[in-house]
Amino acid sequence: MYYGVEVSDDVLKVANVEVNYVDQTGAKQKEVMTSKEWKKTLDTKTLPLTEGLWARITPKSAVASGNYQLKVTTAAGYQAQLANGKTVYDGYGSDPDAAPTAAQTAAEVAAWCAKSGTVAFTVSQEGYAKQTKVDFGGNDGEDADNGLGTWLCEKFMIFLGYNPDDC
Amino acid sequence: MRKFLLWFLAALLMTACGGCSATDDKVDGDKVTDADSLVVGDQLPAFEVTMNDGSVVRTADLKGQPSVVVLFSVDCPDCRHELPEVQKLWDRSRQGELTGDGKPLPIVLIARKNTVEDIEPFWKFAELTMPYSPQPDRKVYSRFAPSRIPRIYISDAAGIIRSAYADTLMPTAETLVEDISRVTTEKK
Repeated sequence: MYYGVEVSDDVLKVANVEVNYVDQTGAKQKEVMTSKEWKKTLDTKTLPLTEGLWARITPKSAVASGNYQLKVTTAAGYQAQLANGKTVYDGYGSDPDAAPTAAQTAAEVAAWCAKSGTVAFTVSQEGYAKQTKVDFGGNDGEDADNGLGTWLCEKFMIFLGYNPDDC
Repeated sequence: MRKFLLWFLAALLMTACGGCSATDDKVDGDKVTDADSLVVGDQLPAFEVTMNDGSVVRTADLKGQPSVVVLFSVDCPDCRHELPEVQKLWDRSRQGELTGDGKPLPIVLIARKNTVEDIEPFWKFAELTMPYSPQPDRKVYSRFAPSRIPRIYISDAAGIIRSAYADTLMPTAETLVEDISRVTTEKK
């Protein structure tokens, strides 16, 4: 299982980011983001499993007025072996091509922070994934982001030297 | 720019993407190029496919009413994300909601280089019940396009493609219903 979070330069100037995720045992973990990128690889041979990721973003106590470009990209993925021997991979996450949100005041920063979504899915015994919800406390009722599929596939294909149009 | 992506992708490096090769994209011996991709306004190509329930569907069978053709591969994540939406459309079609006359709308799912053995595990997992045409190669797919999957084509009664989706920004079942409704309304 793979997790990744990336934020734009301005995010850590105006907010604290705590990455919440489900580990390979199913336990919820938290890590504070100290740089623009956070990533985690967890190995498990056990299926089914649930992957969940939420960047809890809270504004810092004193945010000066400015011109902040705010963006967070989240990604969660996995690869598994199917019973027929094929390897399957899949992923979900927020849209990496979404435009940053411009915020100028502390109130606008706070409004943006409150919108950080959750990525969550369950990988079945068979090796296939279905989106689900994970309650990290504070993200109740959030619909999971699902914009990663094409993006992940295309990057993967480029990385391997294949035609991304084949995704 | 997105260095963590490289890590992410490196972690997936050993993963195969079955069915993605474009090496056997040929129609009648000619290499299929991007310019051959069907677009809105084009005629549905001639094909004849055998469904997993044994029925045979030909392009000619689709004329006389709007129809939907879905090209998919269970090896493709986007296809696996989209197929449940197609199932919702199929269910609504079976209830006679899409045509106005109570008859089901033809919805033809055609695999790209996926056999029954490839497809069935995912069909079972996702609780899909709609019939599909397994295909050992890309020949039928290549009559529509050289690459990118999933693909969804909505055609009118004359077999002219009126909506086309390929890979990105794939529609929900609701969007497909709206597209079909537009084609059906224009027919009258």
